This record gives sequence, structure tokens and C-alpha cells, in this order.
Amino acid sequence: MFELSRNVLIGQYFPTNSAVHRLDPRTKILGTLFIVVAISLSRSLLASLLLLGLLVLITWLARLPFGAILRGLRYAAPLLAIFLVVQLVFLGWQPSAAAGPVFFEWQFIRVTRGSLQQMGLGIVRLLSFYFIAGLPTLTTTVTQLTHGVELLLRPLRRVGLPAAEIALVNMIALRFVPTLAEELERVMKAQASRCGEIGTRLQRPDRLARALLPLVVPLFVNAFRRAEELAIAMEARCYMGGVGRTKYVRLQATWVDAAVTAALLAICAVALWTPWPALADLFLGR
Amino acid sequence: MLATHLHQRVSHSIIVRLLAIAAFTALTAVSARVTIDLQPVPITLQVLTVLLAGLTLGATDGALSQVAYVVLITAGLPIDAGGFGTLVWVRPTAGYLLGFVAGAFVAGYLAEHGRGRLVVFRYLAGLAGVAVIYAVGAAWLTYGYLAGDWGRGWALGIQPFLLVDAAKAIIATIAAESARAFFTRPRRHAP
Repeated sequence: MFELSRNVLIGQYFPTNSAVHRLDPRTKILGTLFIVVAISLSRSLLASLLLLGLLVLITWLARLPFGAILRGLRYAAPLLAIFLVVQLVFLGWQPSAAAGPVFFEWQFIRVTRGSLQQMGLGIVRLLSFYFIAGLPTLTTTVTQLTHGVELLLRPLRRVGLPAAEIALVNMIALRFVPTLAEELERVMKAQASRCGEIGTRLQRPDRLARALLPLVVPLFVNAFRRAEELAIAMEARCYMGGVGRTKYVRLQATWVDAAVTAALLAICAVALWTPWPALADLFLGR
Repeated sequence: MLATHLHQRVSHSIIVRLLAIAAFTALTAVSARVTIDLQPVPITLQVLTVLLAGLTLGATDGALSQVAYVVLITAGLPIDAGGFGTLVWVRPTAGYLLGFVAGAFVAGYLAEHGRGRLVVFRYLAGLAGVAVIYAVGAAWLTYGYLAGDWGRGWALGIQPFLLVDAAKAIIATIAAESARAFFTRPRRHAP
């Protein structure tokens, strides 16, 4: 309970200066969105394998260490394996998987073609989600990501969305996260060392409120105090809001970025709308 | 509200507003990751922070702090409760993220426009915020994943959290009041 700062993990950055790292952050944000949509909408095993292959290719191009990335899976693997086996064995009774021949049936266990197919799709999709969840932050610094967000939001200024302000808020919020986590940890330890009632059995809402209040109020007041101090510091350095402000970092999208975005969009569209043959037909027969 | 007190000390109120919003975006991110082992259900402080954002910053700024939070998650940063980043949009719980924006706005709007200065009214504003968060969250869950079956939507998405979130609304109200008292108390040395 007291190890908060270790658990508050803002995506890690792994610098290798590869071609993927040098891409414009906008390209990477848009690409991530396309691929996430494609993976989650795809119902074909072949298309999902294609997308997983694409992600592995990107990871390889980015020169990220596969070992280190897959090590994260090690802890989740036993649970996932149990989940998938349970799904394989019992899904056969569901109407969605009942179609096709039954390969194995014994008492309450039933393996059908449908359940094999769904398990295969589940594994591929889980792996793809695992890869894509880490890619943006592994290959892009947080600063670049927020610049990218600002530029992507800029067209929305027409409808009144303050893009520059949202970007500033994002940058500062991210800087605040570890500080506030550390502070909360300190408050919790302080309360516990003074016999604070954290972690007892509480069922009435008012008692719960009374137990949480000594945690929340100091955290909240400290956050405000920090915001106030930073405001004075920025004021002293002549920050006047987003209008007319110039930037130290200027993002320059090249034709490579346009080409990569178009290619990713095309791949995702092809993966979704091609009538792929079902792999199950090839291996398991019709 | 609180921010109006803060900007008396710094001349450009826009900076104070922006930083107060940023502080709440960060608080939301931190509170998503903090689980407190209260029996019977472990709880996170996230709903509480959302209510506090609305109650102290007001409707617009409170909602903006949550918009910034959602934007950061969409850009791929794993600061949501599960650490999923962009992937949250394909999960059944994505509706609660949208609910945070709406909930902060509603709580803030009611607290700003409520008649009288009774604490009870701000508590009701907090409860209304909670109701909005769960309405949006459960609607996403029900129509996206349960084929419109509101009975299961209620049982899975709302009922388990009712009591705990009533408590969070109390805490949010008291915390907003205490912080106001802290910041508006007379000080010996003006900064």
C-alpha cells in the first residue's frame, strides 16, 4: 500500500534513435489509433496475425529489445494460460462457438471448432494489444507526445477548444504526477505512524469518509499550493498565455511521415475489409 | 471558488486557472493508481478527485481538467486505472472516462449556480456528479457490451459502487470546504 511511487508508472522511454523514434509524434499517435481500431474490429484470424506481424516489424525497426518487452508478459502468462484453457474447454457450450464439428466431448468439457477459433483469435489479439500499448511511449518522449497532441488538436480551435492551453496543462500535469504520488505516499506513512485508520473494515459511508479525509485534504491542499507557487514562478518569467508564444521545439513533418500515416491507414483498411479465408478451413477442414 | 481566491495574488488569472487545472489533471492520474484496501471492496480515489475538480474549479475548468486527462490517455500514456493508454477505448470501462468530464461539469455547474451557501447543497451537487458519471459509464457498458440489457448494466456497472461513492461525495464536499478555509484564513505574512 505504501509503494505508490513505484506503481505510478508513466510510460518508459527507450532511446535508440531508430527511424521509428525519429518519426513525427503526430504520425505515431495517429498510427496507434488506426492499429488499435483495426485490431479490435477485426474478426478474422489471418487479419489479426497480419496486424501482429506489423507490430513486431515496427518493434524490430525501432530496435527495441524483444526480451525486455516480453519479460513483462512473464508475470501475466500463467493467469492468461489458465483463462485461455478454461475458455477453450467450456466455450463449446455457448451458441456463438457451437457451430462446426465437435472435436472432443467428455462430461462438461467440450472442444469445438468454434471454441478453438475463438481461442486462437483471443491469443493473437492479446499479444497485439500488449505490443501496441507500450509502443508510443517506448519510442516517443513525453514532451514530443504532448507537442503532437497540441498540433493534432489545433484544427479544433475553430470550435473553441483551447489547444495551446490544453497542451500546457498536459505538460505540467505530467510533471506533477510523480511529485503528487510521492506526497501522497508521505502523507499515508505519516498517518499510519500516528495510528491512522487506513485499511480497517469500514462499511458505513460516513466512517469511510472520516477515514479517508486525513489523506485527501493534505494532498489536495498541497497540490493547490504547488500550482500557486508555479504560477508565481511563471508570472516572474513573463508567461502570458498561449497567444503569440513561440516554441523551442518545432515539429516538422516530412513526406516520410505522410507516407507512413497513409501506409498504416491502408494496411488497417486492407486488414479489415479484405474477405480473408478462414484459417480454420485450412487446418481443421470445413 | 478556490481559484478566484488564488488569482488575487497573481495578476494574470489565466496562469492560475491553467495551473489549477493541471494540478487536478495530475491528481486524477495519481488517484487512478492509488488503491486503498478498505473492506469489502478496495477503492480508488478517482471519482473523488473528479468531484473535487468540479466543486473547487467550477464547471468549465473542472471539465477541462478531465478533458486534458482523457486526451493524455488517448495519446498513449498509461495513466488510466488499468494502465492501458489508447487501448481504453476498446474496453467496457471507457464510458466512465467520458463520465468524468460530464460529472465534473455537472457538479461544478450545480455548485456554482446553487441557491444559498449551504454545505448540503454542494453535497447534493457532488451526488449529482456521481450520478452523471455512472449514467454515462453504465450506458457505454450496456449498449456496447451487454446488448442493451439494463438489468445487467445496473448490477455490473452501478450497484457495487453506490455506498462507497456516497461516501466519496461527502469527502469531496468536506475537502473542498476545508481547503477553502485553509486558503482564506488570515495570514500574518502576506506573500
